Amino acid sequence: METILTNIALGFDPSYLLLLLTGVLGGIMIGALPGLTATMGVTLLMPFTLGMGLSPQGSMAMLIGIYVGAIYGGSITAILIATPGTPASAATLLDGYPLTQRGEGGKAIVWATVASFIGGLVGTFILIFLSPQLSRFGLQFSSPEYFALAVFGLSMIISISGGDVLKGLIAGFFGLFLATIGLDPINGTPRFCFGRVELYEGIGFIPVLIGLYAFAQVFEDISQKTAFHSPVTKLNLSFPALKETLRYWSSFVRSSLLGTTIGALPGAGCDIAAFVGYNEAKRFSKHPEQFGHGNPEGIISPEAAKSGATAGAMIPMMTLGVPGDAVTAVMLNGLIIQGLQPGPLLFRDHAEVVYPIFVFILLAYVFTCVTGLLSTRWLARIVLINKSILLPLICVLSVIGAYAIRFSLFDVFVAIGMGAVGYGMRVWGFPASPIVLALILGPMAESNLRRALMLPDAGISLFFTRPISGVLLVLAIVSIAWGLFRQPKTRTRASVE
Amino acid sequence: MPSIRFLSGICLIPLLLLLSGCAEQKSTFPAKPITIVVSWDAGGGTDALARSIALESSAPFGQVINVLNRPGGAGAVGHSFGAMARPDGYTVMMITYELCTYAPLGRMKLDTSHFRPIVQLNEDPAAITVHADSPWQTLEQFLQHARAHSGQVTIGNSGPGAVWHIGALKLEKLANARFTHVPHNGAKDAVTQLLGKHLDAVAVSPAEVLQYLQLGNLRCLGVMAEARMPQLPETPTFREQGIDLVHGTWRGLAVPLDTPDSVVQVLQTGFTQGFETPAFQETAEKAMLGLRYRNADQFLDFLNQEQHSVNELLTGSDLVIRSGNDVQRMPRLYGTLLFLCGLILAIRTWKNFKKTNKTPPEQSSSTSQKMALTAFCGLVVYGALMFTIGYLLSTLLFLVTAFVYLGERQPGRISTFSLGAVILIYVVFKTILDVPLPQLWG
Repeated sequence: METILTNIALGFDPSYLLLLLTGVLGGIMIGALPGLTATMGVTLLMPFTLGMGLSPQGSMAMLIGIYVGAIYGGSITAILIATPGTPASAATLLDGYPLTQRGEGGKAIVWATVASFIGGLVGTFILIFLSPQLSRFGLQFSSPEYFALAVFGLSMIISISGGDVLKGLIAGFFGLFLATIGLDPINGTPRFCFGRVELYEGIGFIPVLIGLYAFAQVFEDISQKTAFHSPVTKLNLSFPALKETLRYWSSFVRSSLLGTTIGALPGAGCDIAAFVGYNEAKRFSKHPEQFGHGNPEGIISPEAAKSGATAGAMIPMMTLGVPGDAVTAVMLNGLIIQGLQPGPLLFRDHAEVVYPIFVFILLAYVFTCVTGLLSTRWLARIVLINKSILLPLICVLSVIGAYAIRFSLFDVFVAIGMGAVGYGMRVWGFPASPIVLALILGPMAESNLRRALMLPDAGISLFFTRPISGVLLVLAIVSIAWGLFRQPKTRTRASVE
Repeated sequence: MPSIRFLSGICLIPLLLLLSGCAEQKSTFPAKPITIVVSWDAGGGTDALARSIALESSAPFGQVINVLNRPGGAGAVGHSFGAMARPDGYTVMMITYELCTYAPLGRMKLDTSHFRPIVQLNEDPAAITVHADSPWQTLEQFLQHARAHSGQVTIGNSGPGAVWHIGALKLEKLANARFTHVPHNGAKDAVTQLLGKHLDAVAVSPAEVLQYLQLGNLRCLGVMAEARMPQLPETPTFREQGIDLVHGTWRGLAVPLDTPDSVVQVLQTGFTQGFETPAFQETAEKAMLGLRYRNADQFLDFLNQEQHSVNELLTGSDLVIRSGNDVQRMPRLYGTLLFLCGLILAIRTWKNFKKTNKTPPEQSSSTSQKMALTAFCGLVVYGALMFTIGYLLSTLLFLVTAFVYLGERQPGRISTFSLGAVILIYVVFKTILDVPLPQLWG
């Protein structure tokens, strides 16, 4: 017990805390910039931490800070300028940006901050106390289960379609089709590449995201002159009352648990967690029709879920030495270069690294929360900037962001082209989020379906006889049926409006 | 407004500094940072190798060495990017075994002859690993089982056509067995699946399974190397078990074919010094990357040999990657569903149109849509300009035009925001985060 306490105290070393804080601040900035993702931030800083001769604890402090900060930071731009900084923030945008348009962007950021804090807290406690159980659960997942999870996720298209399911489905199938471009995941055969090597790795996800949200929003703002000349004048900078926030406790808890579990699966990460969190909040809500129009639960649930997922992704990394997502894969590599082999042995042989890591994760959420709350009042003022100044700046940032993700001119034009597509979709009332969902889940669904069907005992029954995939598929079917059944009611309302 | 004028003056100072920095060009190579292109994801073995050689070679060159990941298409994307880079020595490609496979697999016309090798750094064998709970103690038992249950034994690999996949295919042929090859998105995914007992075996490098071997979760049946690995003294080679199979990956640095001799010479000297540093050797050992040095000439000979044997292997025999016929099935399914939904939407719209007998309300007037169109065209021009006249001028031009077009008339604000943004973005991306921007000038 005493050694555990000493090891925990090690994590509070001021030099580590400084590194952690630097990481968090840098991470928030990286996350907020479109095109720069958490993976990129951690990858860029990894050699830097090694080069500085930091101890394993020091470099982990910095990397964890960046990871947690970046996943949170993406939501700031999603809420304020409708540009998700990281893919995981695309779900937060659905209800965050409407609040900003009403002049309540400050409130939205506070909710996002608090939710990501609570999600992270819950995730960290699960990481500390339930890691072995959850990582064993994660190992149960094979191709049929991942396929079922993807189908379950895709069933959300119906609920995030807004008023019109048909248009949502069209957007979803369009996204699924886009996701098949590139070398196919099983044979490596080029599909729809027209001999262009740029297309071999598929249509980049980030450029599409930048196009569909940032550019489409810019085009829409420019075309709507009324909104253009009168920026929000009544800015509500008050924090939401504690009571108002506590009312959503069930969303906090549900999303945090869901997010941590999804994050702990080696094949699913923050982006999926955020959408699942959003969807479940809507399903359990008494007012699902308010979602997409600035419902606080529509911000809280994806934020808590994706934050839980960041902690969750550390679970397989720490207990099995298997990365939970792309970021933890890079971290894992860093630990190995430092001479530490994550896995069960790490807890026995290197407790002086394990316990400080727990402390860092916990404190990273604390630092993020404090930073977020302190800066809200200034950040929320961004809507006061004249649009004639703001829109060109968003354009430049988005172009650079689309370029920076893979250093390719091609991606810049993909983003601009998708901007035109996104604008057209807005004009004709098609929702954009099904495309994002399909791009996240399409490759997962296809590769795992085909991989599962390669197995010697394959067959359709395989998907239903395996317990986890069976449950997930039944849930997906129920969710589709339920969504369609409830649909006529919402559509009449939409047509009345 | 004096304050704004003052501010824009302040903004100009770093800009001038920036420009003077550009003008100060050294004549000897390397005069600016070198970039190593890696065609695999961050976090993998190739990436680790590139990052540690980059770190240790920056001292001999006296320049920063960046690592750029261009993953995708089993390395095809990165390799073609590296081959098409400007042959000035500032873009160096980390070539891997897969470079030999693209042409014979018919993916693209790119092979080792498109590169000028500098140094080879690493060589790692393939290995066959099974779960510790499996009944197979030796390679022979495993292969007997595979022969008895043709096509029933699953072997995971890191990706279709990647080096470990080809290793398993070679084994299949030599051992006269038939496996089901299950491609994954990277070796880590395959190993995770083996840990969950969803696969019978994996064909990956020993480094990728070492920790589980030490923990006793997995068992390595043999390595496709000439001698036993120092880290795995207990594990026999394939040859010891009666199968004459030596197979593995190699990694090294190369530049586009037209790079001048003098530059190649400097690169070889610098990276060799980096290779020889104790720090690099130590990092490689920890990451369990097998070190193998060949200088430019030796590497060239080796590459020619390797390309020849891979060509023979993949084209001259029945050893081809079995292509399922369902490659187009999913896109076709999505396309059909998309078409059906579109059809229903068209019918619905038409019915509504007949019912109400009037055109649907226009959401925005045509003049304002014209503005959106102008914005779109402006962005396309900006994107194109950035790669002809450079980041600095194109961004300034775009911002000023856009501000004015959107109705901003105060010169102070226009200059402050455009200059401020150009400099801030440069500082944040290039100086702090070290993300390459398109060239400053054309």
